[in-house]
Amino acid sequence: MIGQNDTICAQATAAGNGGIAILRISGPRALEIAGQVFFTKKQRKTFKPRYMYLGEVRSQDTLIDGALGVYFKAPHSYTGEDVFELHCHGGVMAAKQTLELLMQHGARPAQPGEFTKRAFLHGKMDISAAEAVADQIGALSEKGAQMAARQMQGELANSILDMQRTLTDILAEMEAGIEYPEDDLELQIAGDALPQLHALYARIAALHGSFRQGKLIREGIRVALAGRPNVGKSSLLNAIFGEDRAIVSNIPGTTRDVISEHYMLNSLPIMFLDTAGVRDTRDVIERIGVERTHQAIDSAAVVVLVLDSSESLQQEDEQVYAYAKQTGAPVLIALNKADLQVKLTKEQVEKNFDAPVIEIAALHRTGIDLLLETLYQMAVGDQGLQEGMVITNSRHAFSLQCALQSLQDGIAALEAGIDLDCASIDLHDAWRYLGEITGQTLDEQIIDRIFEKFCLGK
Amino acid sequence: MNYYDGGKYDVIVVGGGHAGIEAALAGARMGKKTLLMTLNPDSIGLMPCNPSIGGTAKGHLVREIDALGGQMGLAIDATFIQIKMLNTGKGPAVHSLRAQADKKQYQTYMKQVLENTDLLEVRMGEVTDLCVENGKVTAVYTACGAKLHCGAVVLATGVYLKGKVIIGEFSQESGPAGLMGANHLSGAMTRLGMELQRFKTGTPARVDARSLDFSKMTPQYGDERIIPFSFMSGKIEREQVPCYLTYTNEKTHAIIRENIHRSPLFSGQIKGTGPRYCPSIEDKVVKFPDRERHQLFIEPEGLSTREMYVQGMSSSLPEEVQIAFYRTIPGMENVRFTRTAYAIEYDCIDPLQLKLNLEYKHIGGLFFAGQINGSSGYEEAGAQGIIAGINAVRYLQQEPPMILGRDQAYAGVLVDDLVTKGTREPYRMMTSRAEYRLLLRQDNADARLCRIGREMGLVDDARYDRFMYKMDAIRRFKERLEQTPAKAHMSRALTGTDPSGPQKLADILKRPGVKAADVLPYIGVEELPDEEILDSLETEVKYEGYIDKQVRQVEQFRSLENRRLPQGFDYHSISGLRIEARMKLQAAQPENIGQAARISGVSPADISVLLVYFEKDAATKA
Repeated sequence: MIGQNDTICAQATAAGNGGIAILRISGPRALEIAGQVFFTKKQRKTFKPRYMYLGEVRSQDTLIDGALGVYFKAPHSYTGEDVFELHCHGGVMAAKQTLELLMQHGARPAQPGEFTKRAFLHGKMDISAAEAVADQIGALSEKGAQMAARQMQGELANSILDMQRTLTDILAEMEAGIEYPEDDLELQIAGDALPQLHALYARIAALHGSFRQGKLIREGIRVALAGRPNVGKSSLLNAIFGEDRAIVSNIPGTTRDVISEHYMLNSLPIMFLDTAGVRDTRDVIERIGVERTHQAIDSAAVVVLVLDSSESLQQEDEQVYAYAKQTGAPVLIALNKADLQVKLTKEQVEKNFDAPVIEIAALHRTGIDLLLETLYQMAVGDQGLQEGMVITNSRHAFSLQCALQSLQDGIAALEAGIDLDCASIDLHDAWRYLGEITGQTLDEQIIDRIFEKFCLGK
Repeated sequence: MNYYDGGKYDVIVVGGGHAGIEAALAGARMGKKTLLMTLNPDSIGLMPCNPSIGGTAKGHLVREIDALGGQMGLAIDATFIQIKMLNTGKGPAVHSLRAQADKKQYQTYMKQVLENTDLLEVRMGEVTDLCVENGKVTAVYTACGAKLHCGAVVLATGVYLKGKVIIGEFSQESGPAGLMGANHLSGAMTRLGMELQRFKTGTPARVDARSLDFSKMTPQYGDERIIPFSFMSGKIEREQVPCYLTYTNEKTHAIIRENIHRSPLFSGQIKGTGPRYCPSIEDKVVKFPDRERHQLFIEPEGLSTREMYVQGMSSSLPEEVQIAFYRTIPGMENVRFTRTAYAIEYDCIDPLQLKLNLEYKHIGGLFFAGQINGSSGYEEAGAQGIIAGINAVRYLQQEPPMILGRDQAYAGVLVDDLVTKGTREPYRMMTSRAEYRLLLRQDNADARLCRIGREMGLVDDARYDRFMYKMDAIRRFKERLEQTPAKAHMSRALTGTDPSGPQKLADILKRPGVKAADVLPYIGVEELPDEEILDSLETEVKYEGYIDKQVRQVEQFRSLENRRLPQGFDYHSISGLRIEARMKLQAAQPENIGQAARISGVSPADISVLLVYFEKDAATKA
């Protein structure tokens, strides 16, 4: 159901760690969708075209990134449609999170070359370029389709096919009843399809939920170890790995490099980013370390903030906490040195920070298992990791998201006693969205199923 | 052979079945001198299979034919002996009318209408060949030696082309119901380069009502409140006759299984492709061995005959086997056949060779309608007939064709499916084939098509005035319901509950169980309008949310459908297309990008290429 005039989004600048990532939203709902994720200080609802506004990208109350927003009113834009551009910080995570947020609000991930195609179709490009553009778009979209197809192999493909088949069966039954009202089909009536539809919804929801996990499996869980210098970050790392990996001394700022370490936790690679500690300093070398720490926090899936229980809370601790929270990553607090004289209790920390707190003694390797287990849960989510069944392609994730929405509407309609001909509109939509992934989009298949399944006709 | 000059016509329609009738009437009513050629004028409007018109989706087609100014709806309204609205519990989109017809009366009615239509002549004779000059059809030849000159031809030959009737080991060349077949025309078509297919269909036995025991069957009655097919029929009151329901049983199935080797379908004698939609009883028994029974409807063939039609018992087993298993049915223990069930094979064309106006792609002015296009059913035939007839006239007048979209009519879905996707078995209309089912309701067929029929010149003043009155009434009532606040006493009276917040009367009508007739008095309507107005009004208000949803889907659909493609274009010249797509598009020559997207083997990527490529032309012109 890929439309020609729906609203699409994608990163317009090259992927990777550039200075700035420009995310482009194009289509009739561009302004509306941007308005749901981009907030200026004055909470403005209208944007003057071609003016740049400073604001924040937020998902509900969670800050994702500070960003600049520009609105280009059709036809005066790159694509000739309404366009909203968000200029985010160059971090990979922030851009990705923002894109996912845009998808949640109904922007479809653009096909390769689609901005250019639209620009062309709206007369934004030289006519003489037509054939070249056609060639390029043909090749790009074919490549995109091939890539998506390659990612749809084996168990995952079978699973989605099976979901679509389940829906085919339900629809075939409903449609058979509609087409042949006088045949004794021994059909389940629509109401009885509800348990099946609920079960299907749960299956699709679980798979859609795996999109996040898919990224984790592919990229690993990036964990930033943050905290003031000398609170024991390196000791914690050593406690986890069981050997001296980072230099441990009591001179603050000893660890100047961000150290990456891979550790397998419940079969997931976890990458620890040890940091130099956050502290304002004039020491040039250390200042570079501080910047790198910020970068590590930027790209982390979970931030472990290490606090020293033998000292009271300090301004730097709150700064690190605030910085970490700002990135949107979940924060876990490791309250270290629980063996020493305690000046900072767990209760005090919990009062000051909205984050789970685990007491550890890094040097004695106590509390480490609990810390790791909590960390894993925070990264993976409540449902745990579902083996083998993960969605990695954002287009697939978007199709599943749309299928879920349609299925939900259809179920709600059936539950409200809405007639079958209306409820089936949503169910057919859900079927076609699944078909965008499986490649089976011909309604004829439902009709075929009717005649396979039931003995009908005069 | 030397042909004599048989005269000159604007349109010649070949075939007097349900497609031919509508095509010929459209031609003549649009002002063209029209000739309907038939093998036998006594078989005009014949129903060689079931004695009924309508059913799911088919009933919608009849309403659409009617809204365009066709005849089928009026004919069945004049001659039905039982009528029913099906699916009333499943929502307005799938409500469908079905009527039992008095077959003979239906034929008599249709023949009279043809005979009383100005500019229309009916002539007996077999058309054997076509005269094509400079890529255009200019005349037809008949078996009796006439060359009939014309500007356009509509071929609506039904199942008569090289028809072959098969009953067990017996077979003979024949049309349906013992009528003569047409054995020459398909050879001429092949010579003209058309690709033909061989399809098969079948019909059950007819039995003598005096040999049946109806006390062992369940009577099935029509509706008490009669809703007619035609928007012009008004109120009809008529005594109706029942049909009867009975079932097969294990004994029936055992006899069929024991004799299955004698079935021409299983022995390989029948090569044609049969429809899944009307399987023979032996098909059902073989494919669904677990079913303990199959239902049968015994339907009268008319009021002036004792012959009954046994719906559900189509067969091509030998006659003696048929009699044996028919006699296992409760109430049919002593059944006497009047006509034996048979299968029939016939030639039809591969409809992929047609354009959306039902014109053959390679010969100007040659149109096709009905079963010759691979469809099945009287209603499917009638719908194609009126479209082909209209477009034959449009062709003669050098006007743009009338093409109904998938978002406008079942008739549009039907034609688009046939010419874009083709068919490998007799095609039956189903509501599941329509993407925008909620917009294509039987109650609003006039709202969708009456204006088009008027523009074509088929809708007369009486019909158009009535239509405008209905539209106006619905619009006025709807506006007032949407503007009038629902007071507490109204809500309590209509729903038994207090209003939840400020609401309009339209919101109250949306609640389950509330009827338009109950709400209208609150906007000062004293005398209720016709039921058809009430029904449409109620549906449009109650289902507004879902209707809007489909309207939005149609907008997406239209964005591709409105981008026209040039004809005779060389798709091999677009290098961005994949090879398979180039070949498919080259052969199909789709008329717009939406149609191109529905061709199997054309990917979304190819569509992107087409969009960009042809935008160049559009931009150059602009």
